[in-house]
Amino acid sequence: MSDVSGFSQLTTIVRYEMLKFLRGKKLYIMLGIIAVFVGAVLIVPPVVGESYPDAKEMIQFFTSFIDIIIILLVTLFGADSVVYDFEKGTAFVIYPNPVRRRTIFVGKFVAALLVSIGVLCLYYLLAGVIDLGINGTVPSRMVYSMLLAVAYLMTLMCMTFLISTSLRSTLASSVLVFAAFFLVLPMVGGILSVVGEKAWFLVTSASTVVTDILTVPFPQTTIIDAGAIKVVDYHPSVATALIIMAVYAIPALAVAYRQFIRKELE
Amino acid sequence: MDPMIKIENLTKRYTFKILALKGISLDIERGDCVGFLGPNGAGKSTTIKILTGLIRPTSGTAYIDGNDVTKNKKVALRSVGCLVETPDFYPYLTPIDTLTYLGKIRGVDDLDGRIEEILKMVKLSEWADTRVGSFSKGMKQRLGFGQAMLHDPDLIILDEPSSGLDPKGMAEIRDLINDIRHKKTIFLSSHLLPEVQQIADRVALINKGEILAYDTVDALSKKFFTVKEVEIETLTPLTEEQIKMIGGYEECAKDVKSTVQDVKKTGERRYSIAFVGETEECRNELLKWLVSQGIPLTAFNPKGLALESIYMEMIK
Repeated sequence: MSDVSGFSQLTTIVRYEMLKFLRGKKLYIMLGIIAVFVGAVLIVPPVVGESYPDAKEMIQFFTSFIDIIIILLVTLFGADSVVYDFEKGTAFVIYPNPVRRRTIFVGKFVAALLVSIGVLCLYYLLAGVIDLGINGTVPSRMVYSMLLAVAYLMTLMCMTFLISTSLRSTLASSVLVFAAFFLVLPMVGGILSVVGEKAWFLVTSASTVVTDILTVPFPQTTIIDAGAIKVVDYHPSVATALIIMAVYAIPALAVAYRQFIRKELE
Repeated sequence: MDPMIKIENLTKRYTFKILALKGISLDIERGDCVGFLGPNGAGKSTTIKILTGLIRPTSGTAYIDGNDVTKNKKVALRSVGCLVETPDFYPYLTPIDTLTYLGKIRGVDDLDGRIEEILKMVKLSEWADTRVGSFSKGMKQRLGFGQAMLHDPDLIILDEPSSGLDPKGMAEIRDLINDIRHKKTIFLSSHLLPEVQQIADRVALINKGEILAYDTVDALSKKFFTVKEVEIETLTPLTEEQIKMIGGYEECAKDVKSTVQDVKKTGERRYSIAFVGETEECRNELLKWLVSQGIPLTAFNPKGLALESIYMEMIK
């Protein structure tokens, strides 16, 4: 038996976690969903008798699906990443090995991120190729949009790992992740908006920069006076959005890591 | 030389104040096959989970080969193979994938060759490329045993290895353990008495988080064993005189005295004989005597194993 470095163990864990995604159904479900979005962009305009939008509008249309794509990615690849081992008993095989818990945690996190970023980049690649094919050009700002989408994905993945290390059931973890990011937080943001408040502190508010970065000049926050109520159309700047993401991501990942290290297989 | 396993004053308190271990201490020497016996909830799994780094003790220490598991798990578990509870495997991986994954984490040399040996040993070569998701519980348990042996560890820790298996599966696991029992140090937890009695050299009895006894089966037998029961079956019903005669049995073999205390009729031709004796020889002498007295025996069955009597005596 030879000595194995922590890095070598990490690459092994990442590789086999990735294999899990490649051999499972989730990746193909996700690719199917992306195919539906791309198909809708290609099919709907000719069907309703409209011409395709210009290069910038087409990318903006594609990025309007980014929120739901990222939420589905973290739900499918992150929500059960940790809790599965503890619920199904696979931890009884993997954990009593001469490998540090932190190596397992980092391996799982990196694998979930890599596969999610891969799918996200594939979506942007398809969007770029389609835009190029129809309009003959691609807005250069699409790259910034993709980078911000990756940052937002990383933030939600950190928060997802926090949920996955806190719960005991894969189903509960997946439902909570999806409900929190798709329903609860956007709903809170919507309510705050109609009562005239900026929901700057909500992580989901930061996602608007993914689409806003494509618009020149960058959209500003506006307050619409609708008689009895004032509706806020909140657009954080890129810097504000990145700070909000970091404020959520770093503590969430730190707490998730601590919980994972201390988690016991009772 | 340090013992292979050294447990010192190990205490574990779970949430809601459940005290699973009450300061247990235990030394397991190299090359020993030790059965860790106790009823459900006695603290067996908790001890094994601490030894394998799955949970932390509230206080106390656990050393494997001189290394503190709670402080340096990576070094302590380097030469340990574990089969804890009924493990599950990633369903999308084949046995080859699973063993390759674990072998790479453990740094097994000549991994391909070793995997082939292991699959042959646990009789899974035929299913080497089949995804584990379609395996039966017995096959998964054999794979679990195989992964524990993959890196040819010095110490094998087995937690209820036959749990939930059918008789065939239990026999297969027992055979696998028997194959390695003289080559490795084995620490085997179980609540199945025959399993422990057939395999272990020494037995640690645990109940309610406390070690009640730790010795060889023979030594424990001598220490605690008093009354044995034997069930007999006869060709024809015994007469009152014959029953009275058996009731008066008193024999002395090799300075060990044994006497029949009671004879009860349990069926038309079935009787239960309670007698006092310390060794298995006493039982053999009783059998010889019954035959010599013309009792038409068709069956002579000790009621329960020696270990079972000790076990029941200690945990009551």
